[in-house]
Amino acid sequence: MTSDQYRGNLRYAVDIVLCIDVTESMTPVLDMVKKSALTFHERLNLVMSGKGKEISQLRLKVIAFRDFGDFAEDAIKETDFLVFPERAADFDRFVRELFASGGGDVPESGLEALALAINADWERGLDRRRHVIVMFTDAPAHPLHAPEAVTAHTYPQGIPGDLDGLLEQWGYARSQTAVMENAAKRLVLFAPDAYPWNEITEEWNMTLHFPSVAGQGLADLELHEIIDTIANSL
Amino acid sequence: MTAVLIEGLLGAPGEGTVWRYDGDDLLALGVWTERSRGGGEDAEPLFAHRVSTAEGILGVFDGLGGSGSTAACELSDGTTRSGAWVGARLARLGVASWFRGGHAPESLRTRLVEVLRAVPPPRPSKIVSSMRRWLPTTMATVRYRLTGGQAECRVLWAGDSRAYALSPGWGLQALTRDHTDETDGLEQLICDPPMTNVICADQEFTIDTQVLLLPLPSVLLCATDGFHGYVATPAHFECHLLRAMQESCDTREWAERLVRHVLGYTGDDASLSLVALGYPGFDRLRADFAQRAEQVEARYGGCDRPAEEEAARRWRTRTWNEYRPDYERLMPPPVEPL
Repeated sequence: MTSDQYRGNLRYAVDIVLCIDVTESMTPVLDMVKKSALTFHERLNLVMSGKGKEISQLRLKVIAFRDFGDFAEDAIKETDFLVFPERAADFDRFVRELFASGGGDVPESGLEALALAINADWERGLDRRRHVIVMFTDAPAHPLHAPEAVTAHTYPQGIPGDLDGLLEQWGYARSQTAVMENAAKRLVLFAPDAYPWNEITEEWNMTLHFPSVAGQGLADLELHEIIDTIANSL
Repeated sequence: MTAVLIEGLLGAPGEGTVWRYDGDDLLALGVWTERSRGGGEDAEPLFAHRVSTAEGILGVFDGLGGSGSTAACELSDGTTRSGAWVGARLARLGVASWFRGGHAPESLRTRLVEVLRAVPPPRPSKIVSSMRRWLPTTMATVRYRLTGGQAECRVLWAGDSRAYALSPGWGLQALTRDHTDETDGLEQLICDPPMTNVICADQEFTIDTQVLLLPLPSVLLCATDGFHGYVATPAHFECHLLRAMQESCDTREWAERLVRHVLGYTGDDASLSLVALGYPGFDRLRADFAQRAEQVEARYGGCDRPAEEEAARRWRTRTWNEYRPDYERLMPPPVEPL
């Protein structure tokens, strides 16, 4: 057996879901988040290879969200998992078309986006899997199944009824109900120090929280910090 | 021991340093490699032997670059070093001084806490996470005492660095169990799971331990995951060790070959400390392991790994199931969840 065959076994298969808040308040930072997303795969490959970690497969998925209680039609917009670099053009097109608008009140449907991410079609076959959810939002989130949201005809089916249910899906050590694989999962939050993000940071394992001030958030975020934070979590 | 700088084989990134010692009934070697020059987060491997009391220690320390990426110090040339880099070296220092002082095994944790807490804490980070730690490092050490034809061994470890015994009859036998929720050695290799316990300055940690009596002659070694975590199956680490031994004329060449081997397959910094106790010389050691080397090479070292993914998976599981009983015979049992 050659050395290359050994190494071929033990490269990292990385799936990343980018949950992006595209409500009105994100206007000042959405361009930066989009720029992060568009250069993400190249920067990640670079940082990972600098750490001696090779990526065998990289797939990205985007979930753009607003607020089901405000406007049902555009509350969630998402891609499939797109394999890079083959599907990079599809990814670019989707991200470039994102624009900030709507949202209504301050909290948004970030938890629904997170629930969809947790239940995404993650890679289950390759070795050294890493399943990373990255949340970009400047707002707190409505509780899951908030009355004004569940009446929306686009409200996602089958997601947990509350944050405890979502934690069960996220899982913990030796959890029997988890949807996510304990060894693979990571949650990176670029979000305010407010409900539910602060509770999640405190109670869920394998999370990293870049807290910001609600309503002003993400302004001081820099691309290299985002990439480094994610790469170091792998 | 004198250090010798070794470069990897053509195409293999990184370079390594080796140490070796040939004494009376005692052969020792150390191997240390880094993926990028100056950035290696493994500390140099530890080996010390006190002739007057016939006792010694070997150990390895792997600073955790992901959770310990915060800059911890700036060197005189302006380069910064991460908390992982500093943590591994401080832990090595702590273990060495603990051994020199002849202290009880139970006091090692206290000594490590003292050494790590001497470093001022970092500036508050923008990132909040229990995944991040200050000065995090793994450790695997074996403190031994030679007495009545036996080696009385106290194994101490935290994280996923490992200690092993290597014998002609049983092959490579793990003396430690990784601190991860995943307890299956092959799954650990495939998943690279997060560690549940590592040495660090800002969170609680434990030093796991077990005591063993091994007959002389015996070979003991400690290795970081750069050595054992990038092979096809756990059996292949033994293949590398014995292949390099059998191809060598002396301890130094064995160490140099290990550098070249590991740079060829690893994706990480790698360090290893090894001592052969009760062997009068390298020739005898090599001769004693010749048959075992042939056996593991024939069983696991060949190029029979199927190319197709599913078949390769089955091959890997079959190989592991065959190898596992002997590999785990000295391993402490898994800790049952409360």
